[in-house]
Amino acid sequence: MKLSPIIVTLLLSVMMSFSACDVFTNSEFSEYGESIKDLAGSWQLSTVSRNGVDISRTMDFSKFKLNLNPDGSYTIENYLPFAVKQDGQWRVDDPQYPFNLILQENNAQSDVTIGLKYPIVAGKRIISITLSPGCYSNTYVYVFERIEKN
Amino acid sequence: MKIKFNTKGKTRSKALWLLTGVALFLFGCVYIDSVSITQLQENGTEAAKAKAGTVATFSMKGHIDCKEDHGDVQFVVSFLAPKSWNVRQNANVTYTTTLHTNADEELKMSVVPESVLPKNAGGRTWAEALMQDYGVGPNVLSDMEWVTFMTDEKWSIFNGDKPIYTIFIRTNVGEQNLKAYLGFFVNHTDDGISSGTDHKKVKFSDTPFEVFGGKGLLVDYSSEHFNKVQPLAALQDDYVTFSFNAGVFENDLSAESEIYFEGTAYDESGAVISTVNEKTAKTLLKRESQYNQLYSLTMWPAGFFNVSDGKTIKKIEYIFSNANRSITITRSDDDLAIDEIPIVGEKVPFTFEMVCD
Repeated sequence: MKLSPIIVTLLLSVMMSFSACDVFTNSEFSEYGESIKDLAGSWQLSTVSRNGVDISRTMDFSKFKLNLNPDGSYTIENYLPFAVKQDGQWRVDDPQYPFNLILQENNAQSDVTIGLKYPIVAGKRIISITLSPGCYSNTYVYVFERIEKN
Repeated sequence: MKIKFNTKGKTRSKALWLLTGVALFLFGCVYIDSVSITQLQENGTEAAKAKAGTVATFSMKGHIDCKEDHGDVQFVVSFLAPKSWNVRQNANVTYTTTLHTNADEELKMSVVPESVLPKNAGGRTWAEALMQDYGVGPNVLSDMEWVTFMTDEKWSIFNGDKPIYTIFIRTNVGEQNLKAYLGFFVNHTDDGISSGTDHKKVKFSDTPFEVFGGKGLLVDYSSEHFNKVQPLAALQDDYVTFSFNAGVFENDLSAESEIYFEGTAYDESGAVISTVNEKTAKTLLKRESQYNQLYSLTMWPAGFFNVSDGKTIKKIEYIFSNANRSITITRSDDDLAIDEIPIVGEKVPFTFEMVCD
């Protein structure tokens, strides 16, 4: 069977286009992996909203601190209503895309999972947590800012 | 010349159509004629009240004077009620309309999911837009919510149609004793809370609706008092704001430079957990804004009253006072100001019950 030059050219160009896609996929995308979000640090409660209304200025929330230590332990300073009361261990569900902060109090049998947002606001990472520590019908959003080390 | 004339004619004709279109758009469309919140009482009379835990029926009559065509449109009703009624879960909403072949048949309306936004409210949900635009109407406490329903069926309605509608909202009135004005809003999906008022109407009940025979002291959403607490449903691990409304009635405390909160927390058995009556920054009320005379203190009750593990605050009794306690404002002062009940003997404090229903 004799192949016409046109068919040969077409077949070659199709093969080249496949191989071109292959090379592009492997080399380009691998360099843009999502960075690991490091939540470790000392976090200070900066704003609080109750049922959608900002109540940050109505009392002093700033003394409440959540210390997420690099060794996986956490401590709470100047406790205010929160998802856990005692110190313990912390981790996130996914280091690249953390959607949940998982806290386990010392000597506790089970974990407490808290929905987490971790955006950059005004050039700073913040942690935003939604919780209902009192009556279920009241929803609070706690926003924490990282305390920078001097 | 002929061509010029035609062009002018076309322009004129276009302008006329445009004007007609604008006029049609402006002439509309949806009206509320009456609202009924009265319920049949055990003694056979009608009154704007219902026993706690029972189902009440609220109805609204109106008409549509349609000056334009709409296809596949759903009629929308929103209801403002205390959050404790949980209208979203509990309400059964139906309507009748003369657009339907059987004008007496009650057809179903369903809750609009939060993800379904009104067409012209700038990305806000129905609840957000209504709360921003109308608030809680004549009520003074904000623990209320707008819940929106739309007709399950889509309707075609044409220029010249004048259908009449009746909407029935049947819902459990909850266990909390309360008094509140109720709100009603009508609109349709083609309009979706646009800026005009032709396609939407809002009406609040002329009198407050009362729930009686239930739990707790009467929570009055409908009139101003010396005291105000937010949120109304709260437990000891919430943040609770106690406010002194200094501008609502004449009083001596409003002239003081410093106004303080004094409170006593009680457990379930009625035993005192602790009393906080110090005159420090901890108990000092802050004026919320220069535009009102509301002085407030927000607290975490379990921390404020130093509640030990295993103890639970059931109620808080409180008063407002000046630094040397020579002037106090209590529930007795409120009863005197509102109901002209004379103060006899020792003044009675305000009470806040910590409930979560």
